[in-house]
Amino acid sequence: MSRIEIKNLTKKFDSKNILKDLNLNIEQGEMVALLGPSGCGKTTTLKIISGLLDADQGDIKFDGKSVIDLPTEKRGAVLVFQEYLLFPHLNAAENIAFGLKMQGVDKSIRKNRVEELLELVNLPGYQSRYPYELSGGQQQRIALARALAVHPKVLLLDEPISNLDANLREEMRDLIRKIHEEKQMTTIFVTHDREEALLVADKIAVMKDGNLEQVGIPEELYRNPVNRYVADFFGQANYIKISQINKDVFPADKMREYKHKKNKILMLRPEFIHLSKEKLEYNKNILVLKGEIEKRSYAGERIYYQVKVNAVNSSLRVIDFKLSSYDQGSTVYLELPLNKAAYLEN
Amino acid sequence: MKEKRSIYKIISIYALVFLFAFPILLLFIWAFSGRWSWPNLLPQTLSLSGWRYFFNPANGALESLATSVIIGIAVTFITLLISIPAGKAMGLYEFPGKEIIKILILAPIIIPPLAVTMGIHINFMRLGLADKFIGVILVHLIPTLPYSIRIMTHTFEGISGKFEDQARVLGAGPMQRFWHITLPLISPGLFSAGILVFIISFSQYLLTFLIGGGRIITFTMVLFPLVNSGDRMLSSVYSLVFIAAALIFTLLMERVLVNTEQRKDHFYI
Repeated sequence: MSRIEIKNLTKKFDSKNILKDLNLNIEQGEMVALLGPSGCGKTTTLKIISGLLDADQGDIKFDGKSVIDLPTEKRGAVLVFQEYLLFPHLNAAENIAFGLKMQGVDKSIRKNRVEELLELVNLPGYQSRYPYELSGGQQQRIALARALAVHPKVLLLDEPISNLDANLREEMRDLIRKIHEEKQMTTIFVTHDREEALLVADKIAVMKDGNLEQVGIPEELYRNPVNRYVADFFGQANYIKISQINKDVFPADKMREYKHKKNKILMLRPEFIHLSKEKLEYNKNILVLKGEIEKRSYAGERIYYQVKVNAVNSSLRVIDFKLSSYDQGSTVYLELPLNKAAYLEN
Repeated sequence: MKEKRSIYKIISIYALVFLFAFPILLLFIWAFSGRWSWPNLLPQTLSLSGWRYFFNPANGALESLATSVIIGIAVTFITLLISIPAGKAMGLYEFPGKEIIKILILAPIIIPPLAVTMGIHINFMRLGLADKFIGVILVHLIPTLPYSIRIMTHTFEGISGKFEDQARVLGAGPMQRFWHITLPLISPGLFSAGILVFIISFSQYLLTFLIGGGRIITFTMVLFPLVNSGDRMLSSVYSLVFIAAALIFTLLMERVLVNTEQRKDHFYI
């Protein structure tokens, strides 16, 4: 378990930039998700940390010590591949004990460790099963146990959940989380699924085209994204250009503050907007806009509205959980809580 | 419909078994026959004289068999030793000129060996390899390497380098990766290549004859004149021994190389 520092990591394939000057710090015992669409360089980052790929530039430090020149086998960063890659000629116990055997660890210690790890991944008694006798989810868990067996400095998981069936995903998610909490293992995992990242990780690093867009705790990324890319990645959002907002509707107290934000965009998630028939009394933290319901979609416990707002010249999305019923074409007042808004660069 | 298909299946299976088994059955009958003249369907007398001749040390049959087996094993060993790194390079790595090298590796099968044997013979004489055991072993590598490298290339393509990468991140050094991961994974390929190589080497006549200069007597060199002279009884005896030797080698190789658990796995080739 180590603290990881990644500094100015750069990697090119055939003159195409895969990673551009990547910087990331991971605290000891932290679980970080590298989140991004395929081809954004997240798996490349994992491979460079594990040493399977060489970086063109930059440095990686484990506990302050540079490991960039250490060969993979001496680095102690264990990568669990997306395809599990259990050794087909070894049974579960031999697979799990493989790393220990290579270190020359005593047979009886290996046996105990295997037992303990099988217990941890909820597969007790599976020692003599061969990979072809195991389901995908079981193989995944053995692969995880095999990685943990060598007490890695950092655990690297490449899309650990996306290969599994939908009903197994939740189980695996819980297991990864449980193991993390029990072992306090520094973990980096790669995913393209935002929900997976939000549910499992302590911290999320959003990547795009080899750049790190934003790093933060899940709530921060959802509420305060730094740009539209991150905002869109984590769900629906309303964007309002501040320069477009009609002066009349602005809370007077906010006017001075907003002068500095003239070039920015206000971002607000649809579920934070409240709809009302009556115009709210003056409140300096709430921006009240008049709008007309364009579209109403009923979705069980919530209703989606699309509201045309002339003051800002656009349609805003609203998710209402109160099951209010405003008909199409009716006039409503939208209450936008400004303390829940984020201000993005244009 | 289903029944009809299974009938065809059964017929074709029996036809195939017959095609393979019948000649061997004939060999058996010939090997133990005494007098067998036309138009009798079966031999009139049975005799073991062919086998007596075979086991008589004065005729050198057993000695030539031993020579063939030793050469075959040596050729198999050397060929596999070369094919593992060659197959890995061809199967897993990209490098300039790969396609040309691929064709060059196959060249010995495409070009008839006789076309180059003369030149090889002259060079072997210069190097002092002609008429020697080691010379025969080396010349047998020419027809065996293309097959064996090809099989190993496909074997490596099939397992990919990922298992080695996985072993590497778990802390295994280069030698450990080879012994514990690569070797067991490629063993089915080594088995197929090994048998093929042994049989090719075991059946070589021309190359052995030219390079061995008549001093290295292999089993085929004893068998050939018998077949040529039309002594059916003796050539049947020798042929049966020939088949048995190849079969025993196959079984031994399987014992050594193929892990029983692996046979059930989808990687088994």
